[in-house]
Amino acid sequence: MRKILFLFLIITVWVLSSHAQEHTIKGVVVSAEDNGPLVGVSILVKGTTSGTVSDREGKYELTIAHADTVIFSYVGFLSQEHIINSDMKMDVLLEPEFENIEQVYVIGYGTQKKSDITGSVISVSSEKITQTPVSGIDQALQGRASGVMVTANSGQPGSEMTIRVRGIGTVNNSSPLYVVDGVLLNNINYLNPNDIQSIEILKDASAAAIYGSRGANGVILVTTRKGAMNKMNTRFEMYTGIQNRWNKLDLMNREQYAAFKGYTSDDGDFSTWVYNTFNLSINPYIPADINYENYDTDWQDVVFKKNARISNYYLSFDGGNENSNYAISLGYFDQEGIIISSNYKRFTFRVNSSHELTKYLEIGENISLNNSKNRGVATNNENYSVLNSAISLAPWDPVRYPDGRITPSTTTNLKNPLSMVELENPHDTWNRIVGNVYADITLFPDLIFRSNLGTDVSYGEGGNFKPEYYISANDNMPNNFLEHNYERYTMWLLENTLTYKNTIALKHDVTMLIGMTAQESDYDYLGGSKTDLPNESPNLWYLDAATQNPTIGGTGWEWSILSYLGRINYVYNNKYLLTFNIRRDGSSRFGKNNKWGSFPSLALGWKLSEEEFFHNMKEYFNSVKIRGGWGRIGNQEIGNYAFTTRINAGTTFVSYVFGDTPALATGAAPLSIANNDIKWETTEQTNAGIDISMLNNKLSLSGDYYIKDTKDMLVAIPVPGNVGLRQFPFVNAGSIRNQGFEFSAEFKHKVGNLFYTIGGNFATLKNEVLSLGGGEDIYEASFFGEYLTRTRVGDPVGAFYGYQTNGIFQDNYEVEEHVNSLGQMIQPGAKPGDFRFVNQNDDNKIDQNDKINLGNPYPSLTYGFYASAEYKGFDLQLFFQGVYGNKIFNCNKYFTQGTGYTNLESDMVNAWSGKGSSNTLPDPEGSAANLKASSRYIEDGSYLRLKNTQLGYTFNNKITGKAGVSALRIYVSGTNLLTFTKYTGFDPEIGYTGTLDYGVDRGTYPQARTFIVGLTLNL
Amino acid sequence: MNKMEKKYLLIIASLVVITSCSEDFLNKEPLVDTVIENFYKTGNDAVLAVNAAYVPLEWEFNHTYFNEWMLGDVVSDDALKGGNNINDMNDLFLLENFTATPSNEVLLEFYRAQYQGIYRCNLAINKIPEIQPDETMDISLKNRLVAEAKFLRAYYYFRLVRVFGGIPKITLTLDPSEYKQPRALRDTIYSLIYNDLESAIPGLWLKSLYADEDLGRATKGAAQALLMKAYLYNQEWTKAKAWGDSVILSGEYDLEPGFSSNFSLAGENGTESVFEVQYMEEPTSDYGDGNGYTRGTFIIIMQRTRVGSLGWGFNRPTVDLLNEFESGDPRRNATITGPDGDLYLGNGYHSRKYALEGYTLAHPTRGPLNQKVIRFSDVLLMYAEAACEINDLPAAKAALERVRLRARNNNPSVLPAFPYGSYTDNQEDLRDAIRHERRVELAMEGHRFFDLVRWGIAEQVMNAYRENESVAITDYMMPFETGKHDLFPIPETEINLNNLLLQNPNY
Repeated sequence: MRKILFLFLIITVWVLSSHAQEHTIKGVVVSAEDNGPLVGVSILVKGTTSGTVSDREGKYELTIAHADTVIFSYVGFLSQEHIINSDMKMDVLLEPEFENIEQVYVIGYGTQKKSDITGSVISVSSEKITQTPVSGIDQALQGRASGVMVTANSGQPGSEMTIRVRGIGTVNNSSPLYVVDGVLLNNINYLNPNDIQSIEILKDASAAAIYGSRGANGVILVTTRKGAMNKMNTRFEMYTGIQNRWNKLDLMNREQYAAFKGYTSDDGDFSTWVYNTFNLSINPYIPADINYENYDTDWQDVVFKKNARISNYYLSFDGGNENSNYAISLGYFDQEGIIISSNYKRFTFRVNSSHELTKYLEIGENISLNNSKNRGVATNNENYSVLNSAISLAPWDPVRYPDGRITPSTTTNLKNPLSMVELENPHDTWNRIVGNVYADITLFPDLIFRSNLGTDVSYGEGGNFKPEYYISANDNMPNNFLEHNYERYTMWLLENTLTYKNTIALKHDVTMLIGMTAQESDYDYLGGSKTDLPNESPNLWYLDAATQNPTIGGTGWEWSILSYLGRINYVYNNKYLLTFNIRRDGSSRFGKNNKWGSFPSLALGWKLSEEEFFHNMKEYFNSVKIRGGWGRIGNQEIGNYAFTTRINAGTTFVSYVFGDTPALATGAAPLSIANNDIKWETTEQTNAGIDISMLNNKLSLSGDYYIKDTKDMLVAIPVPGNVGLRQFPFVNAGSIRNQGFEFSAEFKHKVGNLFYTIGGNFATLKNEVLSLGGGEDIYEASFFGEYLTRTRVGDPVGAFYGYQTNGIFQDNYEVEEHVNSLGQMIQPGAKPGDFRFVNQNDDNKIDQNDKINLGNPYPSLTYGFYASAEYKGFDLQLFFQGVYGNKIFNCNKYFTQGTGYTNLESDMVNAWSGKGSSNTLPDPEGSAANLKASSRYIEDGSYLRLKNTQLGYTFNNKITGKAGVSALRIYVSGTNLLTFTKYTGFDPEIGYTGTLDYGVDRGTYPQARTFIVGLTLNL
Repeated sequence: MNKMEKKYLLIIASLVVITSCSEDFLNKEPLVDTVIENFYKTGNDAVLAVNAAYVPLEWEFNHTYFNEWMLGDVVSDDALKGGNNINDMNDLFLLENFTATPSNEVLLEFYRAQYQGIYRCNLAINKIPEIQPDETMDISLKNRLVAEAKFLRAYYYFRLVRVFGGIPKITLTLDPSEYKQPRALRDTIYSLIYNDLESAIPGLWLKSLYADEDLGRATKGAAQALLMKAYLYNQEWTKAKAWGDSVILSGEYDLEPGFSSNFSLAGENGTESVFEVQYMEEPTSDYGDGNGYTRGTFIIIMQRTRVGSLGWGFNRPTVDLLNEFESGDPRRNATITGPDGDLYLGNGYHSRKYALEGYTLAHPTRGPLNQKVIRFSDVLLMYAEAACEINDLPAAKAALERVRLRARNNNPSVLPAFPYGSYTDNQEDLRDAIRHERRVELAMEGHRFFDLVRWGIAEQVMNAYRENESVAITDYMMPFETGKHDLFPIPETEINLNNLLLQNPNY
C-alpha cells in the first residue's frame, strides 16, 4: 500500500509543477478528544514530500505555495485537508478515528481495501493481541476471531495452542498455515506479540486459495510493525505480575482417607497402623519412626506455586522519512509456570526497514532473532505426572522426611512430585532466525515486480540429566543418566510476483497478480545418551563425562514445493466486486500420478449501499456488502514420503531369531506399498457473508455461513490380504464436513468525554465424518490401554467412545434382572455396587461391541465478547471468552473416584456402600469394569471466562510532554479472573496432546490466573 | 536501448524468472529409509530380505496373528480350547465346535499373516537372482538364500492350502490393478509347493553345514521332509517315500534319546529337529508389539495351567487323547499333565510339551522355546505311512519300530513292536497302528486335525469322539460334516475386499 502511495505522490509531483507566491501558516494541533496537543502530527503539502511535524507542544509552522492543499495526519485520527490562500494562523482540531472504513487488509501476495474484500477475512488489531499478557500470538487470538477456535494444550509456559479455523478438516494435520510478512511458516512461537501490527485470518476457500495446497486449514497472516513516515517513535512497554491456580480439587484429608482405608481408633497408634498396613518395612529407605499423625499434606499445594512470576519488557525504536523507514525492537519475556519448576524465557530481537532507492526500486527486509529456553514438567499422563501424583498421594505422607530426603508414597506406586522435579533436569533451548529481503521494481507506474527471499533457520538443543538415587522400588535410578540432542530445521522461500493495478475509465478497478514461488525445507536430528557419570556436577553434564551404555540416533527429512499463482480483483463502479484466484502447486510429497494440483476460487461481492436505490437508507447504513464465494484448496501435510515404497530395516516386524544361542538377526522388507496417486487432501468450501456498517460507522456487523467439505482425506484403506502388506497403504479417500455460522459485531460511540466500544463474536460448528473411504474406524487417545476416541462415519472426528452406564446395581436381584431379550444375564460376574452397563446389541455380555459414541469433544459454539471505555485518560477493558456444547473426558476420576488405591475426592464418602446408598459412585471395592472407559468420565466442557480485564490511565501529555514523554499509560490487568463451568477437573481448557485426543484430560496443566501491572511509554 | 525498451526487457526478464524452475526441484528421495528401488542391490540386502521372510512364522495369538496349532489340536479330538471360560478367545471356541463363520478373526489373521510371508518371499525370489555376488554373498550363499525363500513360500502356501483349499496364487508383487485375485485350484497350489521345494533343494545346505549362528534356517532336509509331507497330503506315496529316503539316508537326523528333550531349550535345533520356528527371550515389557511380535512366543504362558497364576490354560488335552496312549507309554505323562483345579468345561488337563515347566519367564507373557514344525519322528512316521500304503510293509514296520523303540525308553514291558495287542501283521492293521502312533507321538503339536482330514476319516472320528465327550462340552459342539468342515471358511473380510474370491462349500 505504501508503494502505491509513493507512486501516487510521484505522479502528482509531475502534475503539480507550477509555483506561485508563498504563504506561511502556523498554529497548534490538538486532539478533539481532550484538547491536548498532538506531538508529531504530519503536516504535508498535498502531492509533495515537503512538510513538517508538530512539536512537543503541538505547534507547527510551514511555508507553502499559494492555493496548496495541506494535509494534517496522525495515527489514530482522521486526516484533515485545508486549502491555504493566505498567511494565516490555523489551529487544527483532529478528530479521533472511530472506524477506518478504508482499512487495508493483507490478503496474501498483496493488500486489499476492506470494503473490496469478497472472501471471509478477519482482522485482529495489535491492541487486542497485546491486551492479554501471554507469550504467544496464538494465545492472544483466543476468542478474538469468529470461527477460529483456540485451545490451550497445556498451561505450561511457552506451550503452543491448538488452532482450528472453521472446524476440524481432517483426521491428519489440521493446523493452519502462518505467513509472517510474506514468509510461509508452520509455527510462529518465535514472535513477540508486541511486534505485531495486525493479524488477518483467511477463513474461506475463496480467500485462502492463493495459498493452494496449504490453505485448507485456514491461513493466518501476520504483519509486523514498521516505522511510520516522518515520525520517530521510541516505545517502552513492560508488565510484571503474578500467576496462580484458580481451582483445586476437593480431596480427602488425612482423617477422611485414613478412615476410608479402614483405620479406626481400635487400630491403635496411627503411625504403626500405616507402617504395618502398607508393609513399609520392605523399603529400608523409609524410616520406621515417622509420626504420620504429624502430617496432613495437601499435595495440590505442593505442586502449585502460590505466586509464579511473569514479566515482559519491550523496547522499540522506529521512524522514517519519505524514502526510508525502520523499526528495531528488543523484547524479553520471562514466565514461571504455576506448577513447580516449569518456566519459559524468551529473548526477541527484530529489525526491519525499507528504502526507496530510486523511483523504480524499493528494497527492504525483516529480520527476527529469537532465543527461548524452556523447562517442562510432566503432566497429562496417567503413569507419570506431577498433577496425577498431587491428586493421588496420601495426605499422611510428608513431602520430605525430617532429614530432607524426598519421601516415597506409602500407598501407591506413583512418585513424589518432588522426585519428578528435583531429580529430573530437562531443558530445551531454541535459537531461531526468520527473515526476508525483498525488492519492488516499478516497471510502469501500474506494474510492479516483486522478488521476495525468505528463510527460517532454527536450532534446538535439549537434554536431561537424572542423578543416581533410590527412593523406592518404583522410583530409583541405579545409574545416573544423561541425554543430549540437537536438531536443526531450515527453510528457504523465493517468491516472484508481478502486480498490475489500474483504474480504467474511472469505473473499472483492476488488480492482477501473477507469480511463482519455490520453497524447500529440511530437518536433521542427532541425539545420544549415556549413563554413569562419575561426578554429577552440572558442569559435567556432557556425554564425554559419562562412561557407560552409549546410544545414538539420528534422523531427517526434506520436502519442496513449487507453485504458480494468479489473481484478479475487479471492481466495477465501486459496486460490483469479483475475485478470482488460482494456484498450481507441485510438491515433492505428491505421488507421480498427481504431482501437480490446481486450486481455483471465485468470489463475488455487491456493495448494495452504493446503489441509487439505497441512498435514502444511507442515513442509517454507511455501507452494506454481500458476498459469496467458492474455492477448492488443499492440505499437503500428508507426510513427506508416502509416494514411495520404503524398506523397513532393523528389528520391528522384520527381525527373526537364529542360532544355537538364539540371537536376533535383522531383516528388511516393505511393510506397506507406495501410493503413486497420493496427493493433497482437497477441501471445497462455499461461503456466503454480509458486512454492514451503520449509524455513522459506529456499528459494524459481519456474518458468514459456510460449508467446508474435505474430500480425499488420507486414510489407511484395507487391501486384499493376498497383496501381503503389513500396514495398509494411505489413500485419499475420506471425507469430512464442517459447517457453521459466524457472526461478529462492534459498536463504538462517544458521549461527551466517554468513548466506549462493545463488541463480540460467535461461531457455530457442526463436524461430521462423511466417509472413511471404506477404511476402518480410527481409534486414538489411549488411557490405561483403552482407546478413548473413535472416528467413525456419521460421528464427529475423534468422538469420545466407551460404555454407557445406567446406574448402579443395588442388590443381587438387580444383577439377575439385567438380562437380554432371551432372559440371559448380561453381567453375570457383577456384584451389587457395580455399574450397570447398557447392553447395546442384545447379546449376553458387555464387550467392545457395546461401546458407543459418548459425545463430541468439539464445542458447537465458540464465542468472545468485550467492552472497553475511555474517559479523561482512564481506560477500562473487559474481555470474555467461552465455548459451549463440548464434552471433556475427565480421566482424573479414574483416580479420585477410583478404588482408593490413591487418594479420593471428599465426596467418595458417599460412594456406594449398600443398597440405596448411591446410584452414581460405584463401590470402590467393586469390579474393575467400573473403571473402564464409560459415560461416568464424560462431563460438560462448556465454560465462560472473564479472559482479561484491564484498567489503565494515560497521563495528560501536557504534563508528561514537558518531560519529553509523548504518552505514558499505566495499567493493571487480570487474566482468567472468573471462570464459569460445570467441569470438575482443574480447568476446562483441554487441547491436544496426541492425535485425535482433543478434550481428553489426563491431568492437563491448567490455565493460570494472572495479575499484572504494566506501563507503556512513548517518547 | 531507450528507457522503454529497458522496461520491456525487465518485464520479459521478470516473466522468465517467474516461469523458470526445474521440476527436478520436486524430487526428494526419502532420507533415513531406503526406497524399494535402491534395495535388493547387495549381498547384505539379500540376507536381510530373506531374514524378514521368516518373520511371519513367528506371529501368533490374539491380534498378533494366529498359529496353526490352534487349528491342528483344538479343532481335532485331541484338545479343547481352554482358557478362562468359553468367551476367552471366543473365535477359537467357535472353531472347536464347528460353529465358526466366515467372520472368524482367527482365520482372517492367519490368512493375512501367510500372505505377508509370501509377499516377502516373492520379493526375495524375484530380486535376489539379479544381485551380483559380492563380499557378503558368494554364489553358494546366493543360491541358498533364494532356496530359503522358496522353501518358506512353499511352507506358507502349504499352511494356507490345508486350511482353506485353493487360494490366490501370488508369485510376483502385485500392482494395485492386480490386487483382486481369484482362487487357484488346490492342485495348482500343490504344484507350486512341489516346484518351489524341488527347485529349493539343490540350493539349500545340509543342516550340518550351517554355522551355529545360522541354525534355524531352512535346510536341504527340511525341504525334502516338507516335500514328502506335501506328497503325503496328495496320496503320492511313492514320491513321498522317495523323499523320505533322502531325509533318512542323509545321516543328518536321528531321534533324540529322550523324547522330552525335544521340548526343552537344550534340545532346540537338535538332531531330531528338521524344521522349527525360532523364538528367544523377549527383552521388552509390552505384548510384543514394540518389536513387531517377533522374538518371544506366547505358547508357554498360554498352555500353562491357571493354577498358581502360572499361565492361561489354553489347548487342553481331551480324555479321548489321554486314553489313546497305551498303558505305560511314557509319552503320555510327557504330553499331558493334570487334572488340576483349573477347569475348562470340566476338563482339568493341561498340555506339557510347550509349557516349559519350571522355567521362569523373563517377560510377563512371552518366552523362548521353538515351535517344532517337522521332527525326525514325524519323518519316520510319514515314511512308515507311505511305505505301508505301497505295501512295503518291512520298511514301514522298521520306521514305526524306530519311533516306538525310542518311546519305550529301554523298558521292555511297554510299547511292544508291531504287531502288538489286537493288531495282526497285515497292511490294514499296520495302517491303524501307524495312525495311532502318529497321534500319540505328535500329540499337541498341531498335526491331528489335518491328518484326520487327509486320511478321510475326520467325520467318523470326530463324531465318535463327540459321542463320548461330556455333555458340558457337546452342548456347544456341532457334528462334523464332510464336504464342509474339512476346510475352513474363507474370511468374509477378504471376500469383501476381493470379490473374485469364492467361499468354500456350505459356508
